Amino acid sequence: MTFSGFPALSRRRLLVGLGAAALGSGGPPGLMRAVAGTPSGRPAGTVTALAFDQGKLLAAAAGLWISGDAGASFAPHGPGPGAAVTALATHPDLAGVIYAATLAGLARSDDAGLTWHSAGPGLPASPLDAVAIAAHDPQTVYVAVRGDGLWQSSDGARSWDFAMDRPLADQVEVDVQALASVGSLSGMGGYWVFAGTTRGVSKVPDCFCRWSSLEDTGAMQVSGDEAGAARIDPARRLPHLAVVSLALAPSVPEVLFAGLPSGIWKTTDGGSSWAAVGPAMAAPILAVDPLDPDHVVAADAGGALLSSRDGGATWADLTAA
Amino acid sequence: MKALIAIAALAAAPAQAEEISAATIAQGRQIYASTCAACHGADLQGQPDWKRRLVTGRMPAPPHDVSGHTWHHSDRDLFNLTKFGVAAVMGQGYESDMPGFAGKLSDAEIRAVLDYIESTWPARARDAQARITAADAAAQP
Ligand code: HEC
Repeated sequence: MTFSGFPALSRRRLLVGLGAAALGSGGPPGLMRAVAGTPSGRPAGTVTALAFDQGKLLAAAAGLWISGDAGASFAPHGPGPGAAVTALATHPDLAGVIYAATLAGLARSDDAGLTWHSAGPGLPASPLDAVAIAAHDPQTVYVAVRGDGLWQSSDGARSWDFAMDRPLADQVEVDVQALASVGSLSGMGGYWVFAGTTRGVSKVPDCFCRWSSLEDTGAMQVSGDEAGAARIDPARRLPHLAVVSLALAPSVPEVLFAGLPSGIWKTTDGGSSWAAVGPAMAAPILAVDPLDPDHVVAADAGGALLSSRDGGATWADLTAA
Repeated sequence: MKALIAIAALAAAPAQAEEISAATIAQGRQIYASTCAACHGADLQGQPDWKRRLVTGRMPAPPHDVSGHTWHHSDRDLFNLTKFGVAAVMGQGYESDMPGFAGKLSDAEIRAVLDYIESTWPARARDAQARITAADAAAQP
């Protein structure tokens, strides 16, 4: 069921569009030219997704790129899954396994990104905007299907079930652009799934009973949440703007980073209160190193590539040669 | 320490669940048929296509059998959801078609209907729900 909704053309769409154009127009020869055109060893094209795998940083742009020195330099890492990548997901317990949400469905690599196969049997033939691996069960995978909702696999993406309609924000059903499995107890026998939408972040327990507001403390209470939400300083709430990226290290579920139109936002209390961190960036794509939760990398469509080693307090420009 | 208490409670919980009398379950079944079945289905199967929003933007009535998510909620949450309705429990302007039954059903009747629902679940779901209830109880101040 598609429920009303303003056609929100988000920054992410723009990014994805650019990524698609870069891939589509070039083909392999174009890709090679692009590679040759970046002597500094930076990803060619717009970075549309980032992920850490075993300490290495992967970037999806025109093709796939890999960095063994935390983003200081990148080398081409094959063509990637073949369609424009909107998100990458990895898990510290599954070394070398990478999921890529693309405009043409879900792809999985079992060799750290060199070769890819389709991993979305049973998923609708629509673009995917996000993918996440469950923090406490790497066989469980979630994807966001554009215009549709969340789908879940419990068997490492061999089969899929529809899990939940898209969340409502301000009474409008909104697309999910980023997903994060947040391994803090939901109080419903499981954990939380956070969704970055065209208007802020919504969360749902992994039993998928219903979406709730981020300001909720988690436990269901009879109208107690108003008091709980009121305790949060309005200035510390996440703006109801497009969230194109969510990133965290599974070992520290209370600390999340979100990419907004204005830049990077951070919460240290599981999403109740937020603050902007780092320099202004345009809808940054983010990744946190699961092996070092203070290590955060951010890239935006303007070509900015930043890294923080102290959980977002200070940032270094990785493009400054 | 809290964890120890939770584990103790957890071990005890399934046994307690067995103690609910056949009479209570029968009473609950009757209340379910007359008060809940219209929306949640005579066989607890929920509304068709219950994972998708209605045109109103609200969620349909989910199944109360094991294919739904009722068994993911503690006894306290299920009681509050039934007594006060989903909108009151969620707050934050959440809109829901699940009414509250305060004033229509007594607390004992609400417990009976929930006992009936829980009695239909396989042991796996009942045990999981007993653990959720125990953890919830341990988390209460
Ligand atoms: C008028 C239709 C209607 C009736 C009658 C009704 N329900 Fe519901 N119920 C719903 C809907 C719709 C939802 C889902 C609400 C939502 O998620 O917003 C729901 C949800 C619930 C939930 C939450 C389930 C979960 O896992 O989140 C419980 C518990 C529940 N109902 C119990 C009952 C009981 C017990 C009765 C009978 C005493 C009953 N309901 C009668 C419509 C109804």
